[in-house]
Amino acid sequence: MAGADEVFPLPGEPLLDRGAGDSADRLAAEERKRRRRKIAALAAILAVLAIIVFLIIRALSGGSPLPSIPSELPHHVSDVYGTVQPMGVAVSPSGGRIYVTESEGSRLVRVYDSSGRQIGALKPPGRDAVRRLPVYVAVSPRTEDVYVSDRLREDVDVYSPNGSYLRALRPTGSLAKGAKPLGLAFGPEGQLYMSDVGGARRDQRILAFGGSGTAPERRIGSPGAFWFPNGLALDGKGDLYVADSNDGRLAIFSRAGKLVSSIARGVGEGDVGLPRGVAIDGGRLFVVDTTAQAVKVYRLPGKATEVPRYVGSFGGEGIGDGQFEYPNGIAIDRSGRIYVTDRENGRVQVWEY
Amino acid sequence: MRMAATFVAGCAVSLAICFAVPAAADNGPHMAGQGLTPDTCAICHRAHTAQAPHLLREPERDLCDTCHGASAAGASTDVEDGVGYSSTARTGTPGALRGGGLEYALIDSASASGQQSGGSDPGGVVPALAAGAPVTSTHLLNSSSETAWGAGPISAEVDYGTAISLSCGSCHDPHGNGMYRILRPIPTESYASTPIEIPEPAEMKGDESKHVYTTTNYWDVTDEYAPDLIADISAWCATCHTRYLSDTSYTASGDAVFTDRHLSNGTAQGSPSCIQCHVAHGSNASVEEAGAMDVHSPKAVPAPPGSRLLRIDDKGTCRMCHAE
Amino acid sequence: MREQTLDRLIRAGLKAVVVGIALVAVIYFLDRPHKGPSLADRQITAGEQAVRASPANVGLRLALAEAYRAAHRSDGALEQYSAVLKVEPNQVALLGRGEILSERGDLPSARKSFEQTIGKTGSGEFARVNPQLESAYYGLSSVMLRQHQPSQAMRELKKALDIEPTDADAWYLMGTAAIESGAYERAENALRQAALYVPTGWCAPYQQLSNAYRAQRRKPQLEYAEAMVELCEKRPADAALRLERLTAGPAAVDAMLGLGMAAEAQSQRASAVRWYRKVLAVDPQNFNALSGLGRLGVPTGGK
Repeated sequence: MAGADEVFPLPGEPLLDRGAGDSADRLAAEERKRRRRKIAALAAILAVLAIIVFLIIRALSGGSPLPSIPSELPHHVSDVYGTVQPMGVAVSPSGGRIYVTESEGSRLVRVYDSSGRQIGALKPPGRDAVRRLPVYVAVSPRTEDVYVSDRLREDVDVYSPNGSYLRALRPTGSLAKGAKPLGLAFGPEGQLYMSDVGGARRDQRILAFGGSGTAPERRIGSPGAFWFPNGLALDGKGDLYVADSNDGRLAIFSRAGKLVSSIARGVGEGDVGLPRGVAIDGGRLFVVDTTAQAVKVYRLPGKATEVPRYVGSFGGEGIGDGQFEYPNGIAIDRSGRIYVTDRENGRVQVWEY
Repeated sequence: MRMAATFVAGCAVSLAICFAVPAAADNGPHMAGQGLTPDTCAICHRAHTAQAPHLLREPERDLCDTCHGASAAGASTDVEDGVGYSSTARTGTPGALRGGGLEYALIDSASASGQQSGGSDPGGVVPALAAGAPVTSTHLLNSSSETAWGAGPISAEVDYGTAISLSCGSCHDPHGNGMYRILRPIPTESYASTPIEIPEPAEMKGDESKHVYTTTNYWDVTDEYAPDLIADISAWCATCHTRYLSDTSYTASGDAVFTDRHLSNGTAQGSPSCIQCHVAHGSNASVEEAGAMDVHSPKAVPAPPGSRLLRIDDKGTCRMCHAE
Repeated sequence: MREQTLDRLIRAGLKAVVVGIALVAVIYFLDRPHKGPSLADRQITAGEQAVRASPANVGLRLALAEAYRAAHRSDGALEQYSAVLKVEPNQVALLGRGEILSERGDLPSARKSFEQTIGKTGSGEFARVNPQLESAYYGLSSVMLRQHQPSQAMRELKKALDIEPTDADAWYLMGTAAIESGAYERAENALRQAALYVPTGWCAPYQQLSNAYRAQRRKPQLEYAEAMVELCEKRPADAALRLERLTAGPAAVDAMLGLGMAAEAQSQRASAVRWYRKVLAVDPQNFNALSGLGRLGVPTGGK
């Protein structure tokens, strides 16, 4: 006979015992688990959405829409045709406008959009093709004005971002007497630097401008330090990188104007022959070595007194995709796309990481 | 073994001639190894295994244009436009190169003045233009052949000259050789076997201020630092244009084409050397008047178009010395 | 939060992710630079148009042929050369045809083309300076070598080198032909010439030089050549170790020059200058040593 403590269901009553209570607990537990999984799924979806929004915002503000797989050397993506003997190239900060100087033919500064379509051309007023010769170009990071050095006129023409001619900048003052501007670059605070190839070899310098005036604040380089300095670039710290072309070296100056390091000419890996264009981006230094028909890539060192570490080079001689025939200028836009003028092939090559 | 030694010695000697003075530059990086990495040697010295087909390309000119081309990004001479930037004075607008240019030249060929009548000592002036004009004749520097007029020996058969194919390196030695304007003692396309040396004068060496290649008067062909230039240059030009070299205007040469030749072996300003009448690279003169080409009296030659590197329009060159 | 709300949010979130991925994909593809036809293709298109407009213009056809060759379309190039040759025995067309046939391995036809080029241009006052003739001699000798006729190849190469004595390719081929015909001394001289004109970036002359020295059983010189191959293959430290052992023997000058280049390759500039100066102390006109010092920015004096 069942004990007094035991409960037996009466006929017609539901079976209420410990087993039924367990099922309810199990159900509730499963429900909680399911809920937790759903919350986790929702959190994951929100995280993915956040990444997507971040990528879209990055793409719309000029960056690359997808992060690239880290590699030391870029790959060739496309070419921009239409310029005869292009020498210099610059890009607007957003990457929407590519400026290319044409050193033969019409001698314009051709303006392309990011898809490679020409959208305009810059030329100084009152000077026909035989009276102008644009060589290098740089875009001011502050105003987006376009500065173009003219070898024949020995001045720098300045245009607004929409292409209208603003003024001719002829360096004045005792430091710039007889200056012949060639290479152009802007510092991290928007100061203009130009290479001066006027006069004898001992007179060639880099001129550093302060504000918006036409007189440079200082000259960088001692007498005879340079021999046709061409491309210039500045890193975030304000160190100046000079393609001292005929000396076959890449000279590096501290912000204060002291020579701290250089990459020299030679048969070693990473040595340069005839450096012309220089650009810096993402901790890397790019030097266009014209006679090597390639662009040499280096890692910027932690200290300016160290020599940049050679990583490799891209290009090579020829007319095929990704090959050069006497490359000269280089520019890099905000999304890290690299533009190199390929002089004898009449194109600007676009490379990417 | 002895033959090998002789062969090697012979090569060394010929190399010594060709590459004798790498350090004696012409003011530019034309020293062995300067301005170039050794890989660059292959541009000129490995023509057969270049990346791209080579028959119609101009790799040598492209290399020279890197410094001496339109942008003059590595030199003070732009030989395409005929423009010279001052390598000395800090001030001064770009000048006109004495040899003209390969695509444009700055010779004011329509504005010659100071013509003499009947004399042989003109004090003439041919000014320079302010901006370039397209050339009408050049020493053509591309892979296609041109006639080297007057090349070859005196011939009773009609022979205008042979087809040659010039490059910058035909006349100039890019390695540097201590000669005036790094001219090769034997231009590579020439018929010469004897070198014609025009050494760079000692006082020019290493002094940028004396390497002045611009002019404001295209009729004055003297170089104050290279006084022997005029005396030597005609023999040098005649290494290719052999039958043009003449000590007299009055003796028939015996050649079927270049029979009656103008004196061309002059030794001073105004006494006609080749460069008194002609520029070396290119001229923008307009020479279309009939008979203007006949100075060297080639017979049976239909007058080809172009100015033949003359400095003045039409018969202006003649009129600098001769009356109408 | 209620279960239904969670479900709705998850579904909406998934839809948003799909839309977002699609948007990123669209932006990515729109951002891609447009590749367009290559330079060679552009040149071909322009060349074809020009030839259609002026079919009798020989120069345009030759330019089009060159554009085809740059794009590795040899059939098109051959067609243009044949069209030109129907009209005149043009040396550029003959030479171009020979080169294409040689590349294709049709040696007998290539040989005929080169011989025709030589026949057309091989005589006359300026035969000895004609660069196309030089190329024809080079092409012919290359074919002969592949037909295992090294002596004949060497004869033609001599003619090429008479026209262009600084042609490193011709010197190299001469050296290769000399090895095949057992003339090892001649091979040595020719290969050293090739390396003189193009001292770095080209390993083949040193490799062939080591073959020549091996055949002659000249150990120090073989060591030198093998070390230069290592240097060329970007192993300067290994090369330097081998070359240091040779600085007292018959290959001393070569070894010191090699050591200078190895030092340069390792950015040991002071050491490189010392080695080049040692070379010049023995051989004052050594072109490669003078070049090296020039590269290193050291004044070398001279006239």
